[in-house]
Amino acid sequence: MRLLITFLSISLLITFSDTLRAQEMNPDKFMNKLLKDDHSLGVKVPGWLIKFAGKTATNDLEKEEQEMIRELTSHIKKLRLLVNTKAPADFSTHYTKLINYFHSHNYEPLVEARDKEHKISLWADMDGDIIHNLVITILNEEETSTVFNIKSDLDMQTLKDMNFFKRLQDL
Amino acid sequence: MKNIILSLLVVFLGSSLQGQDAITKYFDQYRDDDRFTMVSINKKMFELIANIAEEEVDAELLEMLNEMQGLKILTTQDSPQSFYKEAINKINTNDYEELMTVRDKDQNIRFMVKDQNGGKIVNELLLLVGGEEEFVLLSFVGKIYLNKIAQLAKNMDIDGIEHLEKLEK
Repeated sequence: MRLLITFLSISLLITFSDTLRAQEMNPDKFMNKLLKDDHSLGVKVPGWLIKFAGKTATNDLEKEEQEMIRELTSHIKKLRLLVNTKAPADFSTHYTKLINYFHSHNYEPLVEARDKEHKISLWADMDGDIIHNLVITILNEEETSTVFNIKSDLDMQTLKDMNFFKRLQDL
Repeated sequence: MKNIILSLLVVFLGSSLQGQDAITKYFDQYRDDDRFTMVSINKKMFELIANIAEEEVDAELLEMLNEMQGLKILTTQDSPQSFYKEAINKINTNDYEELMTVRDKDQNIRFMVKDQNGGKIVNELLLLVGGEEEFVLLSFVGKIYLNKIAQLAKNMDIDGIEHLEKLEK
């Protein structure tokens, strides 16, 4: 009897976790799915290029601003941007799977906002003060939707040390 | 065997009956409704803001940001008065203490608070606005310094939150 219960429990667990996995989609897969659509355009920027841009494209700025942008860009590992001008028919299904992934992988829904046209959300995968992944979705099923997927090792102490908030206001 | 079945039933029923308070239920009912504008900011975001803005704000506002559990706002211009009445009926306002009521240009503005600790700190602030032009439901949960809420509202550019500035007067 015990053997039977153990077997049934393990089978149930495997079936349940497989079902859950099938209903999830990580941000990269979500973007890849949308990229297959003719109305999508994607840009992938590696960390070294962002760092390079942070060093070279800020020459006209003040020294303090240069330092802030360099510091910020040095913590971004990868940036993916996707622009979709007309949502495909199965968009809602993919989006639901993305949200399921966020929930099951302990992403924090930092901000969610919606009006008649747009649905904006900001999800973060954080480990203490370190932001590993930031996903920003600006959705409009009738017009253009944008998804940002930022991989980083940015921590709050760095932002605090560089007086990020004050400098952002000054900019 | 009976114990296992009972335990499974308890876990299943427990998770499905997990209580949602009336505001969360009301908010969730309309969060995907196109007639409404919805904003939800969670605890972690307030912690991030507090962390980044540590040197820019005073100690009370910083403590409030750190202790904030969340902010939820629902607004609509469609049938605002009926949504206002519905909200009043569905949310048990008896649980709250009426802080202030303003009648302003055919609008009812009600500020309600919960668990007031010695005057200026509350654990929950509920704002309901109902009139001919708009309906607003705003719920702040956390350690809220009433004297700081207007200051916070001034720094947030969100539809509906401007009503909180009335608390300053």
